[in-house]
Amino acid sequence: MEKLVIPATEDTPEVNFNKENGVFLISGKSLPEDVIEFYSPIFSWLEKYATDPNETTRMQVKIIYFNSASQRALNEIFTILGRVTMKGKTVEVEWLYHEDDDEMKEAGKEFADITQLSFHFKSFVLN
Amino acid sequence: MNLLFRLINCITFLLLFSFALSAGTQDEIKVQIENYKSLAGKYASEGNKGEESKYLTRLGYLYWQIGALQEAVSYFERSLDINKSLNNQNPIKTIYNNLGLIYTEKDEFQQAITYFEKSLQINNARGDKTEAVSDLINIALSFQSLGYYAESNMKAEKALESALGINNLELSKTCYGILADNYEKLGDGKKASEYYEKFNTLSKHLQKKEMEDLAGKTKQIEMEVQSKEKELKSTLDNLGEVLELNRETQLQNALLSKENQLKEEQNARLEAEKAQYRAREKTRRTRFIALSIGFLLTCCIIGMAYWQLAQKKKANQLLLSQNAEIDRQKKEIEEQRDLANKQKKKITDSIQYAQRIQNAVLPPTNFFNDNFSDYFIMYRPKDIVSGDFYWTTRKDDVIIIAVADCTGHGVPGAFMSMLGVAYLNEIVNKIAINKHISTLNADDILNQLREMIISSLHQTGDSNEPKDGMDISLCIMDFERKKLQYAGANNPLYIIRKGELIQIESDKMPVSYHQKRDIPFTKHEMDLLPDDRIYMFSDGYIDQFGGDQGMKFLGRRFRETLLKIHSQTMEEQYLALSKALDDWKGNRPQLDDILVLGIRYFPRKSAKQQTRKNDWHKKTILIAEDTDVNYFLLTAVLKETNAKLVRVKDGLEAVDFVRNNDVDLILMDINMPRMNGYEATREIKSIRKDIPIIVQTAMHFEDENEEAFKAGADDYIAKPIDLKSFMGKMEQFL
Repeated sequence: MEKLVIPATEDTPEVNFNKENGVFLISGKSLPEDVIEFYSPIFSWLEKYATDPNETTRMQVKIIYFNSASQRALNEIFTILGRVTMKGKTVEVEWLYHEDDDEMKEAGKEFADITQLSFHFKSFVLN
Repeated sequence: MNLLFRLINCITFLLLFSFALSAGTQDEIKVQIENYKSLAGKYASEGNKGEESKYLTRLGYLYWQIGALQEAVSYFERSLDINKSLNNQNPIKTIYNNLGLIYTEKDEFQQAITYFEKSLQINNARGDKTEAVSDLINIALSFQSLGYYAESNMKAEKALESALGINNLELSKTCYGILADNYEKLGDGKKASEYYEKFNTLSKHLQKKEMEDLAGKTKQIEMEVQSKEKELKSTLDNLGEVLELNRETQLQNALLSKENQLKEEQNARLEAEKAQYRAREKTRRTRFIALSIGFLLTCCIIGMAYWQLAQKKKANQLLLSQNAEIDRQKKEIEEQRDLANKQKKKITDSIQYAQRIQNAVLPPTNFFNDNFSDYFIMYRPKDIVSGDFYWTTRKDDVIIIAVADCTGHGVPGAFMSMLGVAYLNEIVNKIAINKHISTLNADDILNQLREMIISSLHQTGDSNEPKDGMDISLCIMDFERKKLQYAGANNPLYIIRKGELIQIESDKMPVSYHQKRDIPFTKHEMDLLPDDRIYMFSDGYIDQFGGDQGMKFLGRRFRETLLKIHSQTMEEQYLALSKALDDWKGNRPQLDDILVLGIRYFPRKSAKQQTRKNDWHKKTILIAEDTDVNYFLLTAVLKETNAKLVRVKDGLEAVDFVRNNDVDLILMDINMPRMNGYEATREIKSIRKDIPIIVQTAMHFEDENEEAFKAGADDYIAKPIDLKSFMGKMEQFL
């Protein structure tokens, strides 16, 4: 399966989903003008992946800002990954937040709560 | 060869230049004017009116050319008079047209129109449609310059019709242009853009055609050049052959004469002389031929040079016309840009007007001034209108405040905010009227708001539908019981009390369709202490990107800032928060709408201690009203009077109530289910004649008033109710 690589822009995050090593990264700011346009290729890639997933998937989310429409998009990503776990595979979500950003940590906990996926929380510092 | 070309070019250019000079300069024209004047005088004295009028017309043109418009007019008019007497329609028409054009130059458009109309009459009579269209266009343009756009449109439409009739695209295009400009000036943007589009389509088509024509002409010229070159080359080749032939002949002749000399020695001298004579003759002839060819060749070269010069002129003209084309396209693009700018301005104007409506819906400043002695509101929409809004209302001793952030910002956010304001009003009024004020619950309000938003936006949970909604924090401050209630959807509440910041967490769900839509919101309740500083806000402030690394401001920095400044007055805090945000933001754009509300709580006098004008606490008023909104309006007014209010929803219920209870006054609606207000009034008056009945009629329906009196009503009030006259009427009967 082809890698899914989207470079970051001013208002969309970097995306790097690699089935080969099982590491999926989404990182940066997410406030696209058209959320559907940005996220639909990501959804379709994941849907395809979900038909034949790896034993273990590591989803790294290192978002520093998302608007409410992007929140729903992230939720959709976790929903698709939820289907992967139902096949008996492992999905680990790494939620990376800026060490001062209490709200982002809370947001991650909220996702963990409603998606039933296994979340790990790690803080980072900007250099 | 080249040198020769250049030389000829030079000479020709000088010649042409002197010609142009003779026709061009003002002095020359003046000389010519004098010349024509004397000629006109001469023909006049001879009684040759035809020639005289021609010279007068020429004089008109010359004066026009040098910009002496007044003189031009007077000569054209003189010529016109003569032509009229001779009934020469063609020159008359031309002069009318010229006069029209001159008056447009003079900005005397009314006068211009008169002349164009005259020219039009003649052209119409002669059936010259193209000319007639030109006249109509000139009239339309003059009206346009006068600012009579509707008149201009009438003429332009007429012109367009006949231009299309004779399939003249160039003129049709002009008409479209005029119509578009007029409609724009008249404020009909739709029609204006319709005509602009037609104008543009036609221009493009015509340009394309023109370019094709030009390309065709260029090709033809190129081919001509090639064929001329070929001719020239073959002429030169022939000349070479002739010269070669000549030399060979000479050689043979020489050989022949030598042979003869050897063979016939005796006859040699005579023969030799003879032969030499013949040879000389032949050479002379050959020379003559060569010279003739040479002369022809020179003629050819000169011809070529002239021809080349003409080509160059043509090419220059082509270039000029192409430049004109480019200028026109540039103008067109500029026009389109202007149109886009105008449209943008229209949209911005419209949004700015929408902003006025949004600001009118926000609580008025005096509400805050009346109820809080120390507060601030930082309200910074990202665009002109905002998805953030604040809302507040007061019911007796209870003040309800909400700070909300609707999905999106700008216009869509503002739409949602209007829904939010309307629903909050509806929910709180309904609760306040049907139940006691003390039963108001912050969580109930959010639960109901969520239901209303989901149902009114028809949110079904389909994954493709937008799940618009809002984040909100809502507080109920009960001044009598000194309690604070809070419920929040994604937006927390901060209270600074005795130097400590208390963060009350919101429920992590929006007021809209959501996985957790069935989970009710949480009510938080606490005591209100004097000097409590209460902060409600949307996430616009803490999410603003800025600083060295473009990071968010963050909740933590916001809390630290608040703690640092909380002891200042709210006004000072507002300034400090604004500065902190602006410093952080720097040159970055604002990310989202920003709203922060700060209130400092002071205990204050209960509203109940305030005096009231009317006190009807021993009176019972029966309100027969089926429409909730109308009933709420009445109660809102009458509650202040302490009267006991009883509501029934139709005429039958009203009659029933009167049979079994004491009532001091009845307010009767007309249109009700089961039994209407007239019938109910009749019934009640037949049972209890003494109970005054005031019928609520719709304003401007005189017959309703009459009907009400017929049924036995004591008085009527017209809806919408005027408060002052309403209370006056009530007083009369109570």
